[in-house]
Amino acid sequence: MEINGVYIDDTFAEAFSMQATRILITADTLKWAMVSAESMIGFATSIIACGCEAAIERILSATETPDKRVGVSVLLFARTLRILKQQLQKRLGQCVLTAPTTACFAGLNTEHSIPLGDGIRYFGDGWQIAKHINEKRYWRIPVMEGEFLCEATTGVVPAVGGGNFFILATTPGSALQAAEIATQAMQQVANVIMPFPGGIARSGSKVGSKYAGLIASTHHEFCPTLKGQVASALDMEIESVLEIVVDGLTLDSVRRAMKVGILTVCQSSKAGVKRISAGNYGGKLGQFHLALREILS
Amino acid sequence: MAWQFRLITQLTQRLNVASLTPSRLASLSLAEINVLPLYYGQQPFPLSLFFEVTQLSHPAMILFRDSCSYLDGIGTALSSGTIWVKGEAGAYLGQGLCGGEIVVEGNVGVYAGNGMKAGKIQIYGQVGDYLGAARPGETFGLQGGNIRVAGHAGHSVGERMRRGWIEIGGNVGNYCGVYMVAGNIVVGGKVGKCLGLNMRRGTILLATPPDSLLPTFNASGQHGLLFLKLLDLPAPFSNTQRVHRWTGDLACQGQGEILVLQ
Repeated sequence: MEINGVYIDDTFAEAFSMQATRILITADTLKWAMVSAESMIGFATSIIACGCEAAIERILSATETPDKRVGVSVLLFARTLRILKQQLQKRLGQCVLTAPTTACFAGLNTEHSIPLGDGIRYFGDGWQIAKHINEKRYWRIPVMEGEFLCEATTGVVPAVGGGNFFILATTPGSALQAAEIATQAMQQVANVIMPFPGGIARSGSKVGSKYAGLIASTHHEFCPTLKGQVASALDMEIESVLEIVVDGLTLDSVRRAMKVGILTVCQSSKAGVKRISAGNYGGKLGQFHLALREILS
Repeated sequence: MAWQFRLITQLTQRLNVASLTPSRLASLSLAEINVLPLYYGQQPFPLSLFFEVTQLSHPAMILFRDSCSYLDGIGTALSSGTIWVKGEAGAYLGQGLCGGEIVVEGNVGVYAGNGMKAGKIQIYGQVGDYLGAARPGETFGLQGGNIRVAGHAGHSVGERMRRGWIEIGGNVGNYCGVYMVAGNIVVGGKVGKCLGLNMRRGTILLATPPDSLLPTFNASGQHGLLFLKLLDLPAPFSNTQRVHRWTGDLACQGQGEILVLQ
């Protein structure tokens, strides 16, 4: 399969089942909502070492938030509910509670929920105040600035993490340019995030290593400098490979984001991009197999 | 199924209509409703002695027409549907309400919303003492839901309430929020004496400063409280965020607050 001169490998991305939540962070100004959110999603690129994967989903206008202030929505993904709870509590307590003027609200209203303000209310040292407003419970936690307002819980949903595709290009510059265009387009898709820095990963990994105890190591088949040393998946003309990883609240949203990303790469990139491929583990680990050609058909 | 109950008798004693809710009447025919026993004073009498009953086309609704202040227990334990009162209502309106909505176009007697856990009560007239309050011996008053009163309210509004929302457009009497455990009371007019006496937690939001405050309330300064933006506040509170705050009652837990519009 070829689109606009870019070859699409007959392969699939292997994605995993995750638990996810969405939270809304608001502030007096977008600057402080962003500062808080960016702090919260720091070091949350991969569940391999970060505990969770998180990123800003989109910016919210004042008409879209409960307190009628500007804000951002953040998606967090983790392998289990227990880990998601822990990560949310730590990041909320250290990055949102601490940021001036912010408040935090649930972004999902589902049957199952995990603590949001319920998890950090004790910071109020007994002076925290619960408020029931329109069937929802909030915590008012006294802080030195005034009060931190936080919804008690937020909904959780089973989600999909690890959707991905590779951009194979003849130069690092053309690979990066294509990846940037792709992530920009994918950010318009609802319910997904690209958790790596700028949405792009240059160090795709495989499971395991020659070194005992290392659970992931470089995906040697796709490393251009290892051509000639290993059974490389790359032609001689390929000099750079970048990966875009997608997590989504639904399998359909991950598919949609991958389709948008790949089509954008194929349609708007210059001659440098030659192939699109994807990362998988032989289909043995992930519950979801996202065949590239099927997604694009 | 909806029914209209038009009062046709000049009452001289209190008439208990607690049994007339949409769910209780759902499976009854007109003939069966007409012979339902209602306590008039101490004795039961057939309903047809007091009301002319007609069927309406609305779903799950009861309409009281030409009602008076002797009709007690309207909407008792209502769980769904609507009760609309065109006229006055007596004591214990919406007692034990756990869903649905009651609308009263006239005045209402004492203990409205007593034991209420959910649902809505809208009163366009005045309301008597003990709105959303606990009866003697009860632990809690209002435990959830919304009560909105357009006019004035009597004494002891929200006594021992532990959750929910009471909004009064006019003035309220003495002992508003007494023994309050939690919840919100919003007053658009003036408040009487002993405001928030022995309140442990909860919020009393006032449009105008009280004439006097108990010495067990301490000034907490002026604040912009974000949670006020989440509330569906009426005028003059709309878009309110900055308030004068007093905390108390320090004779008890002291975590209640009286907020006065700035």
